[in-house]
Amino acid sequence: MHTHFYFFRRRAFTVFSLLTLFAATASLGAQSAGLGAIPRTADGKPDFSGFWQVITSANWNIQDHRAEKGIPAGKGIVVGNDIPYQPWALAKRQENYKTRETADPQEKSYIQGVPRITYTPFPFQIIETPKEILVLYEYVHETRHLYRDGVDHPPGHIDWWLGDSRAKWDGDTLVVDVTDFNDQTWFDHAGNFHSDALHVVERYTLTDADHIDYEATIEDPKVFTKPWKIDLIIYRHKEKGFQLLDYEGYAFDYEKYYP
Amino acid sequence: MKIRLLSSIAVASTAMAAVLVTGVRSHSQEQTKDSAKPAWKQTFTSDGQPDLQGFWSSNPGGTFDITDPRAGGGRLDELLKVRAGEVRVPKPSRVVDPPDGKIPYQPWAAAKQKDLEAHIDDPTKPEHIDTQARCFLNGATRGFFHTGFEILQVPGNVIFLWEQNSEYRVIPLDNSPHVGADIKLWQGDSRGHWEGNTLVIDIANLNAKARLDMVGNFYSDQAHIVERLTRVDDRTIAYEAVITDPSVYTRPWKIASKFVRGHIKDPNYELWEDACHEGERSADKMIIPANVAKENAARAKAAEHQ
Repeated sequence: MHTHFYFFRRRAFTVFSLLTLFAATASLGAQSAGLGAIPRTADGKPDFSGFWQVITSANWNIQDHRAEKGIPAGKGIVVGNDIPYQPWALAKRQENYKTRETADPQEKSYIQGVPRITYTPFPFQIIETPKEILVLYEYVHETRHLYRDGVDHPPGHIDWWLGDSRAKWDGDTLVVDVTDFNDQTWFDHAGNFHSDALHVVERYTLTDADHIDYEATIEDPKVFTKPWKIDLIIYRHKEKGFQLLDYEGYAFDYEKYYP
Repeated sequence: MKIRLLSSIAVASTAMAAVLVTGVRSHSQEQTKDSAKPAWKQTFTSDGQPDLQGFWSSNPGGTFDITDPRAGGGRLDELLKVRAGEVRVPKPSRVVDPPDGKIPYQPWAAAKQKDLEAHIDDPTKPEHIDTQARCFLNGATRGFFHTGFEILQVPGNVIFLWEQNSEYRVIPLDNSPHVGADIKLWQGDSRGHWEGNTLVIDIANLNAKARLDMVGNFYSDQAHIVERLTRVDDRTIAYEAVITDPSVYTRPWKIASKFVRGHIKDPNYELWEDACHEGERSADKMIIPANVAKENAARAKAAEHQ
């Protein structure tokens, strides 16, 4: 799986390097022309519609890490790099690291939780409607409904892989409050983990037409001593005719029986 | 102007009220009924698409057998009733062309389907297990008959969303060509366009690993499917799909069904997470070793007699 993801990332990286260069040039031009505005929907809200993907190796390790076979080195996405684990949880994280080749839920193609699905190295599509912002991920057809109809989280704790997302606007920033997680997902391949008390607050801000500044505050009183943050950039896919394909990871082993 | 309009409405309502109070009973009742329910008219989204949005489900539902539509879930109950002497009246086949309601298979394909159907309850090979039991995506057309779904429309796209297995399909309306032939997808590659008020969806690039129903009806990765969705009134969408696949069938054939509005009293219904593969532990356990041994013995005996 590493190799596959790695190649995907490499291809994406090259494309994106060029894109970023073009974007930088374009935004210079736009600034001098007094433009550079972000796209907006008919009701004036920032319009996130389109295809997006990250360029980071955070899926393997959200903290600073050196290269391993098939895994690129990377600067972490954790603000300040340290994760404030409680002592027992740090020991568990180290155990997870040792068994990661089999224990990482991604190895079984399980639904990735939040925020990992954001930096899983596959593209996703955002569809913006008045009722909700819909995020469709290529990775095992995950779907997130970011409801913004003013309705609060449903009562009671519900064990969900992707949690329950409620969105609202803070100026031009989309703030998504996510609760009701199970304790089955990891933050990365390196074994960083959480409990079912996880609470994530995501902030999506378009910095220009093609970049989203993505910040998430992670809170889990059962595992961490205090809240901590991740911060990364999501890039727009601008290839002509780009679209989502599929990655049904759990089906590969059975495909031979269904010719 | 405004005042005049208001006063004429007032006059009209007064007249109507007078009719109601004093008038010919049956006639006036019909009249109120008619005026309360004006004939349905197709509405359009802000970007001019005929509006299909909302929650829908197929009637009849169920993906047990495309030629004998019903859900697999109630089948045991149904078998017991039949055993007790009740006569089951099947609903019409979803196959409307050919007129006999059967899928026009080539002989080898008919044999393959029969073998799969014979093993529904006692699978002896991994391929006997229905793709739905393995949490695979529904592929083409089957999703519409499986469970209810939601239609969303945004400029340039129609989106189908299922709560079941969090399935989704995005139908671009941009007239772009299909992806290259080497790309095969579980749901195929869809392109849509509007012909009047009908949404026409062209599906190619199917990986054909999903099946059409539980009794093993299938298409190949050479299949080409054209779906047509037309809203016929506030609560109904007419659905048709023509399946062409010269490698499996003797001629193109057509499915038809109707979708009815769902969650009418709860327009704010939300689709919630439905994880399938994550909890799936039992599909392969459906293969019971004793049944495999029995089948092998029967096959060996048949070979002896030849």
